[in-house]
Amino acid sequence: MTDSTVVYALAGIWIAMLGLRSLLVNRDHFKRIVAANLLGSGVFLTLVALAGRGEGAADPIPHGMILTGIVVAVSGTGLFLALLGRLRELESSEEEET
Amino acid sequence: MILLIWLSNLFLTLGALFFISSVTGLLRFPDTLCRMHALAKADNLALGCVILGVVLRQDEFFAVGKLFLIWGVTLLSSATSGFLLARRIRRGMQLREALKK
Amino acid sequence: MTPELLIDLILSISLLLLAMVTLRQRTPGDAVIQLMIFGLLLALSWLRVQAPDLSLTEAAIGPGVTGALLLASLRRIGFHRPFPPPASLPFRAAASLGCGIVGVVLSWILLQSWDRPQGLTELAYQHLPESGSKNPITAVILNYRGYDTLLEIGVLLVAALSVYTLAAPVRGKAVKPPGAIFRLYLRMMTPLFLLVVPYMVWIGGYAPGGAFQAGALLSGLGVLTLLGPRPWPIQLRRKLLRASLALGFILFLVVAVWTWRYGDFLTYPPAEASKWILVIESSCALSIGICLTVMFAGCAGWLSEEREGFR
Repeated sequence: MTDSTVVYALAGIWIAMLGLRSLLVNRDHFKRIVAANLLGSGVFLTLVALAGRGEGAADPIPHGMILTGIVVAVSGTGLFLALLGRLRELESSEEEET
Repeated sequence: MILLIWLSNLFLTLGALFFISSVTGLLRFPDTLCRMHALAKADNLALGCVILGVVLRQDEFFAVGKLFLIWGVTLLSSATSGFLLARRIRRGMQLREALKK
Repeated sequence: MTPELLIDLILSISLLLLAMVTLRQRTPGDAVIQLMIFGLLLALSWLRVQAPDLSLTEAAIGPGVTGALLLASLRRIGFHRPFPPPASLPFRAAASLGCGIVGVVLSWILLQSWDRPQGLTELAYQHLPESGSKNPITAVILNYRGYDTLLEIGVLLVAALSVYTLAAPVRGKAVKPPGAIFRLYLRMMTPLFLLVVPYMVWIGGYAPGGAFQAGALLSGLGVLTLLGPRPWPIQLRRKLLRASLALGFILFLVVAVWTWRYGDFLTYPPAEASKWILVIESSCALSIGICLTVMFAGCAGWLSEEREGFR
C-alpha cells in the first residue's frame, strides 16, 4: 500500500455494504431511506478514493460524476420523503375519521 | 517568520485542547442544557483559536478576511441554534415535570 | 506510521463506526442526527482524498439539505416513534452473509487493482485551456460531461414537480411564528447569503466552487426564509418562482441546441466556452436552490393548493 487513500476506499465499500444490508433487512421506510443514503455515500467515497490515489492530481471525471450523483441522491431522498410524509398524513387523517 | 509559525502552532494546539474539553463536557455533563453550555462556549472559542492559528499562516489578505468571516458566521449560527435548541429542551423539561404531577 | 496515515485511519474508522451507529438507532430523530454527523465527517474525508469541490458540496448538501429534508419530513412522520423490528432472523443472517461476501470480494478486487494507472486525468488537464474554465471539475461537469449535468438538472426538476403534485388540498395546522432572535438571525444572514451565492458561482470558474454548491447555499437561504416570519418571497403561485424552477433546465437546453450550429449538440466553441459556462452555471444555481427549497416545503407538508401558498 503506497498511499493512505486506500483506507477510505475500503471504508467506503464497507459503509456501502452496511447500508445495503440495512436496506434489505428493514421494513420501515424511513430507516430504508437513511440506509440508502449511507449506501450512496459509501459508494461515492470508494469512487473518489480511487480517483485520488497515487501521486499527482486527482482524476476530475469521477469527481464530476459524484457531484451529479450527490444532487440526484438528494432529489430522490426529497421526493421519497414527501411521498412518505403525505402517506402518513393521509393515514392519520383516516384514523381520525374512523 | 519563525515566530508566526510558532504562534500559529500554539493557537492550533490551544484550539485542539478546547475542542477536547468541549467534547468532554458534552459526554460528561448530566443535563442536556449543561451540554449545550459546553457546546456553545468551548466550541466557539476553540474554533476561534484554530482560525487564529490558520490566519497566522496565510499570505493573502482576502483569505484572512474569509477566515474571520467564517468564524463570525459560525458564532452567529451557533448562538441562534443554541438558543432555539435550549428553548425546545426547556419546554420538553417543563412538559415532563407537568406530566409527573 | 506517518501522521497522514494516522489521520486517515482515524477518519475512515470513525466513518465506519458512525455508519454502524446510525443504523442502530431506535427512533427516526436519532437516526437523522447521526446521519448528519456522518455527513460532516464525510465532508472532511473528501478533503483527504483531494476532492475540495466535493467537500464543499457534501458539507452543504449532506448535513445541510438532506438533514433539513429528513428533519422536515419528521414533522409528519414523528421524531420519537420507534422503528418497527426488522425482518426475521434467517433473513437477517442471509442478508448479512450476502453483504459480507460481496464486501470481501470487492475489497479483495480493490486491493489487487490498486496500482493501476490513472484514467483520463492527463486528457482532462490537457484540454483544460480550451474548455472555458480553470477548475477541472467545472470543466468536467459543464463541458466534457455536459450531458450528465443537463439530465441531472432535469431529474431535479422532475423531482421538484413531483413534490408539487403531492401538495395537500387544504392548508395544515398553523406553525408558531418565530421569535425575535431567529428574525434577527435571518435579517443578518440573508444579505450574506445573497453575497456568497453569486461569489460561489463565479469562483467555480477557477477554484473549488460552482453551481451545485451555490445552489445548495441558496436552498439554505430558502429554508431559513420558509422558517421565518414572512415566507411570502416563496409563494406557490408566483409565476416567477415557478419559472425559476425550470429556468436552469430550459436555459441549459436552449444553450445546447444553440451550440448545435457549431458542431454537435452541446459543444461550445473554445473562444466562447467560459461565457456559456457562466450563463449555464448561474441559471442552474438558481434552479437548484429553488427546487431544493420547494422539496423542503413539500417534505414539511407546507405545500398546499390553497391560494395562500406556503403554510
